[in-house]
Amino acid sequence: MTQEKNIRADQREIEEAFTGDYTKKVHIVGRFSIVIVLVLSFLPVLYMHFIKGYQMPIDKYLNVAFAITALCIGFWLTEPFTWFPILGSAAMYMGYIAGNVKNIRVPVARQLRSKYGLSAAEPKGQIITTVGVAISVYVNLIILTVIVVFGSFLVSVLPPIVIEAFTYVIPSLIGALLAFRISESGWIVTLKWSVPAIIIFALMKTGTIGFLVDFGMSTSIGITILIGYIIYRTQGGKAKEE
Amino acid sequence: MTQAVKNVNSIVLVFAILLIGYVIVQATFFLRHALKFNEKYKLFSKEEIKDAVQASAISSIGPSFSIVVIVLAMISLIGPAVTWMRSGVLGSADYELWIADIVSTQLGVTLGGEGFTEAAFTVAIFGMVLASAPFMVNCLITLKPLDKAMMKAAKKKNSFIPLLGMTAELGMMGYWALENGTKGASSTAAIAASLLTAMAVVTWCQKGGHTKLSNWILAIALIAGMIVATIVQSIVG
Repeated sequence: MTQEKNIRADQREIEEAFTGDYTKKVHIVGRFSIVIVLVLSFLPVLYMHFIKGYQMPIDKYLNVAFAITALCIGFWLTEPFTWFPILGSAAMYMGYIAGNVKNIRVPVARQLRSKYGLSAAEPKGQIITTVGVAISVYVNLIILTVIVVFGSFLVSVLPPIVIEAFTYVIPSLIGALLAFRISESGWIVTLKWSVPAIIIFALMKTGTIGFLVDFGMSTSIGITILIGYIIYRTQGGKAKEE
Repeated sequence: MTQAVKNVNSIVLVFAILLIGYVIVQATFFLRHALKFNEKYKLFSKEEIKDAVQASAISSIGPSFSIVVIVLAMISLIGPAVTWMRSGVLGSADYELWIADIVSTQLGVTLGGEGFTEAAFTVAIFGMVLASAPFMVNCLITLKPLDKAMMKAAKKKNSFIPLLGMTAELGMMGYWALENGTKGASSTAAIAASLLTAMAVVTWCQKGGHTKLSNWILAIALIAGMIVATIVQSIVG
């Protein structure tokens, strides 16, 4: 009994430390990093425009800005929200600075949490996700650098069938991620909670909600969460992962 | 590669090194911060952390190769330094290439072609940065309040948070699987083969306690999916 109380007290201490100082520092550094990276990203444009004199009229910049805003505003507003419940803050700051959130950061986070049986909501899950995503940043940058430097050589020595096989990395990744979820929640739960995505995909394909076609995945995530929340509320907060 | 593309790439290289250097610094800070917390509160043993590092490194290799083809296409159009900078920071290769193409269309030039001058390339880089920057601004504004909301909700006895994680994941996975699986028989085969392989390896690892092998699940599943998809593609043509 006393031992159980001690474990609970330890747990509370860990949670308080995690939600206190630890998370506070994550946001300070994460926000500071975003500002630094934004400035550094626009720096080559400013340098080439003002110092090197590679100039185009301002209306060209405005046209480009309007076109990109019209095309991307939906992604800008919705995408970060969709990954937050899966990654958490520290991994989100790293993911959105290093890129490739869906293709690399999410799979690495999922494999690790599946391996240790943890959720993103608990400190343990967050710590291991942060470790995994940081390592994925290093590995991805090394591979990217090798591809950029030796890419043409690699393509010339690799058989065409191997190059073609690379186009199947993403569908293969999807299969593996589904397997992690099935191994945690079972086939029935996985299929049950995939139904909203199936319906939304069918509605997109048939053109019923074709106007949302560019935001298919965000819509699917948003609707699935909403259904989950409605069920959670109607069951008086008792619905769990089932 | 035109002279204009070469000129811009030689200038951008310094900025690319600075940016990628900062990405490494930031990842190192978060890694150290997490490890210090772990050391203080003993959430994972040293062996478990080592194992997690190994698992993450292995799991990152396969997905990193998904960009090979698109990165090579990018290099031929916009040069190696810009490709490196745009694929390594703030973006992903396919998104960047799409944006660069939109910009050149807006300017009435061909991406990487003769009319793609240094000035046009500068506007293209502006477009690529602009297309990714608002994602970061969104994170800058929303992550802290989201975190607070999540922590508050997680404190409830019957929290919605575990269900939130699962619904978000399956909303994403279900749609992503259908989007890719309906592209053709070979893509469907890749999903099915990697799913079944991963399931088999997960079960085998759980039943046999093969912890080392569990680090390789993603890599094994990717290879199985790619092999089966390539075989199916060669059969159905």
